[in-house]
Amino acid sequence: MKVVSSSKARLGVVAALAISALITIQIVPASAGGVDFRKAVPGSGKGITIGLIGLDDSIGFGKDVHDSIAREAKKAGAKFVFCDGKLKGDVALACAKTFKLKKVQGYLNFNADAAAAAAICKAGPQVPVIAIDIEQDPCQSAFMGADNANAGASTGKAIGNYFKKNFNCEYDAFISLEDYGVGIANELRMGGYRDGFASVCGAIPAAKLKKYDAGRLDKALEVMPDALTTLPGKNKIIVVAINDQGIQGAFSAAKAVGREKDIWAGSQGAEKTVWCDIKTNDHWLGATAYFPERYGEIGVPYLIDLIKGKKVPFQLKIKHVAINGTNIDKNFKVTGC
Amino acid sequence: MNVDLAHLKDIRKSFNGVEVLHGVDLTLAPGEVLALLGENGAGKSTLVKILAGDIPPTSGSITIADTELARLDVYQARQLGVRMIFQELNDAPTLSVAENIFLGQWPGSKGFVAWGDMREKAREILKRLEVDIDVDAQAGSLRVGERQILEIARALTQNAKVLVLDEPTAALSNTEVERLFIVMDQLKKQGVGMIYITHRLDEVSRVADRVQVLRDGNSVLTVDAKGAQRDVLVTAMLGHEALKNARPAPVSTTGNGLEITNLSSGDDFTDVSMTINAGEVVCLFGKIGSGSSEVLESIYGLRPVTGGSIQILGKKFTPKSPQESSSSGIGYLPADRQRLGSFGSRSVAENLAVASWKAMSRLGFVDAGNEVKAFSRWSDALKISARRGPTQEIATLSGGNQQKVLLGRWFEAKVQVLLLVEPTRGVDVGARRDIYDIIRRQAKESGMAVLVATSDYEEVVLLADRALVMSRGKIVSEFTGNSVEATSLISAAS
Amino acid sequence: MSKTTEVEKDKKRSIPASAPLMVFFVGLFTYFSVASEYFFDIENFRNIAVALAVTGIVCIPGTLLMIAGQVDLSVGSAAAVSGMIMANMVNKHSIAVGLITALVFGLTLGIINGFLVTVIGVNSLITTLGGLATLYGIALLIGNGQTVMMRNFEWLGTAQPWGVPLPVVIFTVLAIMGAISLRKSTYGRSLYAIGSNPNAARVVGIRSNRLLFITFVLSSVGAALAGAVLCSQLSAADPNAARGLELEVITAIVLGGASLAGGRGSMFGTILGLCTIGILNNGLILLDVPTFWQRVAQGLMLIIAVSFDSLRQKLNNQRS
Repeated sequence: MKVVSSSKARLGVVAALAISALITIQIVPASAGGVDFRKAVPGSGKGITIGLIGLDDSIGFGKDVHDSIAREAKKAGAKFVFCDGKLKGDVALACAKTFKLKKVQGYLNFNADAAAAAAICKAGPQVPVIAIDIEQDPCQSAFMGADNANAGASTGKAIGNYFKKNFNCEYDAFISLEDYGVGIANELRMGGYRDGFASVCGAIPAAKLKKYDAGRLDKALEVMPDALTTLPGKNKIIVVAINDQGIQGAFSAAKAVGREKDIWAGSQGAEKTVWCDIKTNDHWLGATAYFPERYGEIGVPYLIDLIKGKKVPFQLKIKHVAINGTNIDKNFKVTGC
Repeated sequence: MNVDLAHLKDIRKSFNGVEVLHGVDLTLAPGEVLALLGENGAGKSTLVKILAGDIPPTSGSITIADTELARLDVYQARQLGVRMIFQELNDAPTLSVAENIFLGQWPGSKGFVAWGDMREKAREILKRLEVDIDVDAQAGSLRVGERQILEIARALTQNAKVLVLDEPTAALSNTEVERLFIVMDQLKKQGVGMIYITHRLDEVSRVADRVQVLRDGNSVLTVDAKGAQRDVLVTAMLGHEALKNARPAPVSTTGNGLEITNLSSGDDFTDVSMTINAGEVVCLFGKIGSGSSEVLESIYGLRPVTGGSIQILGKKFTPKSPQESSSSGIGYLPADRQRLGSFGSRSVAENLAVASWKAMSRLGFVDAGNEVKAFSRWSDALKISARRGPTQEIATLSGGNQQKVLLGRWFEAKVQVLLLVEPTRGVDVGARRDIYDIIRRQAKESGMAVLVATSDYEEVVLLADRALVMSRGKIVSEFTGNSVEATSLISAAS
Repeated sequence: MSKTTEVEKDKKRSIPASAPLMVFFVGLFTYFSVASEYFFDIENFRNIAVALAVTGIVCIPGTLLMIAGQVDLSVGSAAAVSGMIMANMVNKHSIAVGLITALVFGLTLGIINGFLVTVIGVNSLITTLGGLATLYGIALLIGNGQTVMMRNFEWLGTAQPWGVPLPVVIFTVLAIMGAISLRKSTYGRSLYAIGSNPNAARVVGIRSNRLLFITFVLSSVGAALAGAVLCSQLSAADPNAARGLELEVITAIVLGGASLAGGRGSMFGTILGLCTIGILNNGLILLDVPTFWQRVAQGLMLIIAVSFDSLRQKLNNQRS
């Protein structure tokens, strides 16, 4: 029931978090590794109808996931039905009911309201379900998506390697731009950074670790100048943020006070909007890629497998990669910088 | 000077095939004031709208300042110097006087207003009109009459040659009316021709040079204002002779309706005492600001009482709120019908029944049938013409008809005391007569005590059994029966 | 006799307020029935009705308020708080305690809103805008920003006595009560009068403040009830669940012909507005219209439907 868009107020917060897993408390424990992307086999979905309850198409991440699943479903020759969950449990519930009407044979569920999952499972068709990034208990046959701790660790390790090689692991401070509003996901990601970094350069002494609730662009812009003021003359300052926007903000703030060469950064997301920054800024040491534009390469083939009665591992985790100026062209098509 | 400023010749106008103007001529010379009389629906508004280019005539010719046109549009009319001044204000109340005079055409350049220049020019214009208004005052803080003069001043800055004034005095006090007339005298000297639409016959000889009377889309009389007999004008307007003033019959004292003793409210009025018998109509005559309407507001609980007492049917009554008053059998008809009286978007039946819902309902539910019955009962008695019946929105009725509905509201509620403030303001002559008849008849039939606050002496003469005159917050004199007549009222009030 | 027939005839000449929307609704309904094989289906109608019920419950007192010229923007957040309270109470105590506390919360909120608007004299838009923000904060505080699962209380949201979902039954009963109150009761009539001309209402002796107070209470209680139903439907309370509900409510009411300035509107109109939005949302999904286009279509339809109504008023005015 929405003529006038209504959840915009919240989109600001959510969109800033490149990844949806942060919306919920229900995070599947981190597991090592992950599954490889596999392109859908043409014709493998012939005669099959699959559905997707979307996160919210007005969020870039959700839209990327939607598009990639639609693309792979088409490639497989399956009929694809989409219904936008718009971040709301009741909307997703209505979606599940339409899926029942439309007789979908299996669906991917990116419903944001994990607590409403049981009601959605019950109302929807009783078919295989793959949950995306958010648990859809009790009807999920498999769970695909991000691995927060791992994602944090991969860029944390990349920063550690850089500092070991260039500065012999010497650094002035380790600034962590966090977002406490998103619960445990914050812990997993930011903790991942620290663990990854510590695995190379050793544990971070408490005196050097500075945490701020400033993961968003505007908050980072606000907090960073003050943080830099407390570190006069220092030029080996590590800054990590819960997403790309936090680091964008950090660099903008540092530039404003003429200290953009004093900070060394790592972020999460590696979204399209920051590709050029990553490529051209050698102080942006790493950004963990989440590959929403390739979710379909896991979701669609495995869902078809499930529908056809094949066995599929429960955990379908993305293999995260820390992106930097040197490897970015291998992973993405970056143009026009 | 032979050249007319404006000349309308054989103007005909039809709406949806119905002709409302049947070949009307009108001329206006420079420096002349032409009073245009006629009942509502006579065609006055249509005629001046044609002159202003608002609507095209079906046939006929229009000549303004030597330019003959088969039809003209609003823009042309403005170019030729035709300006309209309406009863409703068309100003920006939060802007200053100077800004209002130059509204939309502020002197200055490159989007910046030249304030000094503008204020200087505004002062000059107001001086020319011989009025004393501060150019820096907020327009909204001025009296209605002053704001109207601002509109005239604005017309002058835009080079007005023909000024149409549509009932400008309807909402003005006597002093304000006089001031307007002085302004009009100044305009005459400057050669501006004016068409003056009014319902007040006494104003005609004061301000106009000629009088033209319209009736049912025909021009029925054009005479010099000087020698124009009042009876002749009324007969021309109505199409028949006016009824002679119904001299009030002596009132039989059937007991006290409303009695107030030494009532005061701050500085607005002090020590007002009167007794109104059941069935009697008493007018409280006074200029605006004399305190007459304020007395009624206090009785109804709209204005705090600071001293004195009120008795209704011999029982003490202390006004607290309009709710208390209306449930204690008092009805109140405000002067400002649009703002305080009618529910514009609701039906006539509902507007009429609203004060009687309690009586019409059972367990909190109103029987809509009762509403319709009440309406048909009163629409006959009050001669309300609502073409679409009880469900018609009241806002679509004429002022006179709306007022009748609002009167019917309190008749239906069977109030014992009815308080009326300026009951015929903005109502045309014919309907006015109806309203007076109804009020008098209803008072006698139901034994209501009726108290009317008015600044219109004609109303007092036609309506009152007894008149009390107020000046500066006090009752200054009393007239009964045949002694209620215009000259003594006016001299007592001033 | 002749007089009544004349009146009847004249009545026919003016187009009734709900006619344009009715035409629009029927047109839309027919189109979706033809265009989608899934639309004309009892199961689908049931889905549409359930999706509408929560908003609908809030729309009923909302219509009363808007007719009186007031607006309550706090309903969305109030529903969220109600849901959060109920989920916690149901988990800790019992269903009865949960329901009662949720409704008591609604009552209290209504009293606060009513007090601020009618006694203190704060503009209702401002009062409830403040409420919108405050209550959202409270909803987040209650669950510490998280959703709360609720066990064993699905029946309020999902039971289907005689095949009709319970939320729809609740909505229908309330709608009938609301419609009768508006048309027949002195209370409802007074609301129209207050909205049409608040000053005149006071002068004529209507107890405006008291009636507005009651209506604000009804609005908050309605929001609390809606929150409880939503929470039961999802078996969970999400502080974000009813975000934006206030706009959905206003949209349906205005689409149904009520004026934001007060004095106009009807329960039937509101329900028709609600249903139009409901089948539009449902139909567009069934037709696989991309989300972004859905939003465009929904916005356009709103403009078109309201334009129809303005056109109707123009036509009526020309005829009078």
